[in-house]
Amino acid sequence: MTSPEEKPGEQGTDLLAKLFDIRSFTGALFLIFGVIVTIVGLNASEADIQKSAGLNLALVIGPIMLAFGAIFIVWLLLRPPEVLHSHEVTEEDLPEQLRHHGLEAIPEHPGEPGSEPPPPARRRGPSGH
Amino acid sequence: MFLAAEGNSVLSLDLSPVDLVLMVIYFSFVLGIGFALKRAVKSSLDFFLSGRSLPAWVTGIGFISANIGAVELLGQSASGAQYGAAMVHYFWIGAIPAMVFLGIVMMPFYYGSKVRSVPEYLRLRFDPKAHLINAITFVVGSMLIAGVNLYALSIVLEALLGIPLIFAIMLSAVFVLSYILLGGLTSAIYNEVMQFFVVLVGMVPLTIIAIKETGGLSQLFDKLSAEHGNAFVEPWTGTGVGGSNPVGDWIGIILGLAFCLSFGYWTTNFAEVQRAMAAKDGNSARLTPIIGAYPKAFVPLITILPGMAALVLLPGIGTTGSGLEYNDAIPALMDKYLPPGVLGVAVTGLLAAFMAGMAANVSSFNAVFTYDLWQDYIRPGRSDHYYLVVGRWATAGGVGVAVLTALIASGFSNISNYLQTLFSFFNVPLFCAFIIGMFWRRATRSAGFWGILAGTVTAVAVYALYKFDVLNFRSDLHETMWGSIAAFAAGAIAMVLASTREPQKTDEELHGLVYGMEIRDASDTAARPWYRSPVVLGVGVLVVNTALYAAVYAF
Repeated sequence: MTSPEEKPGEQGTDLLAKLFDIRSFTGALFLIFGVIVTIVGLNASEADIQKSAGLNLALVIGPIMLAFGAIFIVWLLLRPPEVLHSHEVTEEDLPEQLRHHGLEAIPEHPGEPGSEPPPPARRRGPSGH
Repeated sequence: MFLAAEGNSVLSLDLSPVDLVLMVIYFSFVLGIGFALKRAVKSSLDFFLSGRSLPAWVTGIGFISANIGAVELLGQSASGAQYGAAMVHYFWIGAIPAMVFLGIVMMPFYYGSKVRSVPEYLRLRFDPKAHLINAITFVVGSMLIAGVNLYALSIVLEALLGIPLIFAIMLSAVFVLSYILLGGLTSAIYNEVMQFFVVLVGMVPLTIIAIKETGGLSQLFDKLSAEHGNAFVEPWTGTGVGGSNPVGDWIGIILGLAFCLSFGYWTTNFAEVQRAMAAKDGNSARLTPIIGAYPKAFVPLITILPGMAALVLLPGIGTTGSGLEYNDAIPALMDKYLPPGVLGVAVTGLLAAFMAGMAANVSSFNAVFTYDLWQDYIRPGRSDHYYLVVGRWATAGGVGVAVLTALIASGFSNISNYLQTLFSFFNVPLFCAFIIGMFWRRATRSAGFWGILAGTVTAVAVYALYKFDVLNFRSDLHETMWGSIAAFAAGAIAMVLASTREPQKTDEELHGLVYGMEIRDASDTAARPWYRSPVVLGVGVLVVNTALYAAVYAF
C-alpha cells in the first residue's frame, strides 16, 4: 500500500514529485548544456567557425538548447505531475485467466474479482510517474 | 587527442575538455535519475512495467528511443552509404505502418488483457509450449542484441578515452546495470526520453552541415546517381523482379520487409511493446507507438542521408585502405564538421543511444526471465517482493551475458545486417502466431507452438541455403526478406494443420485475447479529442510518410 509520506496533498511530496518528473530532468539538463555551449560559442575561434561550414554552430545550438530547457520547466510548472505513487500488485493487475492462481501470496481481496478496473485518475494532462 | 587503439578502423575523435565536461554532466544525470526513482520501485510491477502509470508522450518517445541504438544510428547510416536511398523502405513502408497497426489494432489485446509481457500473451492464447519457445528465444535474442549494443558503445568509448576494449565494455555494462537496478523500467524510459532530445540536438545540425557541404540535396543526389546509378538515389528504381536495386524486389519489400519483418519486429518485440504496457491507461497505450511513429518517420533524414553524404565528404569510405568503415560514417562526420561544445553534445547523444539500446534489451530481458521463466516454471507462488529481488538478480545476470555476447558481435562487419538476420529467425514466426491467434478464433492450443517452430526452422533453412550458395539473392538484405516470407508461410500452414486436429479453446479462456472480445477501459471507449485519437493520429503519420516518399523524388 501507499506509504504514509506519499499521501496525496502533502507539501513535501508535491515538491519531490515535481523533482522526479522527467520534465525536470530534461529541462535542467538542457539549461546546463545550453549555458555551456553558448559560452563556448561566444569564445569560438575562427578555426572553429571554419570547421562547420562558416557557421558559429555553438552559438546557434546553445541558445536553442536553453530555450528547450526553459520550455520543459515552464511545462512542468504549468502542468504539475500527479503525486508520485507506487502500489502493491493485486489480482486486478493480472490477466483474468491468471487470477486466483497467479499470485498465491496475495491475500484475498473483498471486492468482486474480475470487475471492471477502476477509472483512470483525473486527467491532468501529461505528467510523469 | 584520442586515438583508436586497435580494430580495422583508425577513426579517432578530437575532443576538447568542454566536450568531456558535457559527457560527464550527462552521465551524472543518468545515474541521478536511477537514484531518484529508487524510492518509486516498491513492487515487481513498478520494476518491470513502471506500475502501468506513464503518460503517452513519455512512453511514445521511449518506444522510439529504445530503438535508436546501434541499429539506427550507425547501422542505418552505414546501410545508407552502402545501399543508398532504398534503405528508407525500412522506415516508411516497414516501421511506420507496423507501428500504426500495433497502436490501432493490436494494442487492445496486449494492454486490455493485462498480460505483463508478450510471451505471457502466448501462454494464455495458446499453451505453455508456445510460451516457453518465445520466452527462451526472446531471452537469448535480447542478450545477443544487448551484446551488439554494448560492443558498439565500447568501440566509441575506446576511441574516445583510449582505454582497452575489454575495459570499455565492463565500464559501460556496470553503468547500465546500476541505473536499471535502481529504477527499473521507469529509469530506462526516462533515460530514453532524455537521450532522444540530446540525439536530436546532435544529429540535426550535423545533417544540415553535411548536406550544405555537398552543395545541397539536388547536387548530392545528382553526384551519387552519376557515380552509383539511379537506383542509389531513387528508392523504387530497380525493384522489379530480376532488377538491380540492391535492397531487393518489390514483392520482397512489401511482403517480406513491410509485412513480415517490420510487423514482426514492431508488434511482437517485447522490448518495444513493454513501453506501451507501461502506459497509464488503454488509450495512452494505443497512442504510444503512434506518437513514436512521428519522429521515426524523420529518422532516415538524420541517419541514411548523412550516410549517403559521407560517400562524397569522406572519399574512399568503406574501401580497404581508407581506414574508415561504413559504420564510422556518423562519428567521422561529427569529428570533421562539429566545433567544440556541439561535438560534445553529439558524441554524448551517440553514447547515450547505445546505452539506451542496451538498457531496453536488459529491462525487457529481466521481465521475461522473471515473469515468464522463473515465476511460471521454476518458483511459482512466491510473494511479489520475491520476484522483485529475482528481477534485480536477473538484471545483473543478463548484463553479464551481454558482456560475453559483445565479443561475438565483433565478428560481423555490418551490425544492421546481423540484427536483421536475427529478427528473421525469431520475430517473423512469432508474428505469424500472434496475428493468426488474434484474428482466427479457431486456432487451437498447440497451433502457436507448431507455427513458431515451423517458421523458425524455415527461416534458418533459407539462410543456410543462401550461405552455402544453393540459393542466390542480391544481398543479405534481399535474402532476409525472402527468408521472412517463407518463414511466415510455413508458420501459417503449420498453424492451420495443427488447429484441424484439436478442439477449440472456450470463450472464457479467450476473453480479452482475440478479435471481437477485446477488453477496453474507460479511456479507450469514452469520447476524446482528435489529438488523442489513435486512428486520427495514425492516419496522420501515414500521410506524412507518403509525403516524404514524394519528397525524395522531388530532388
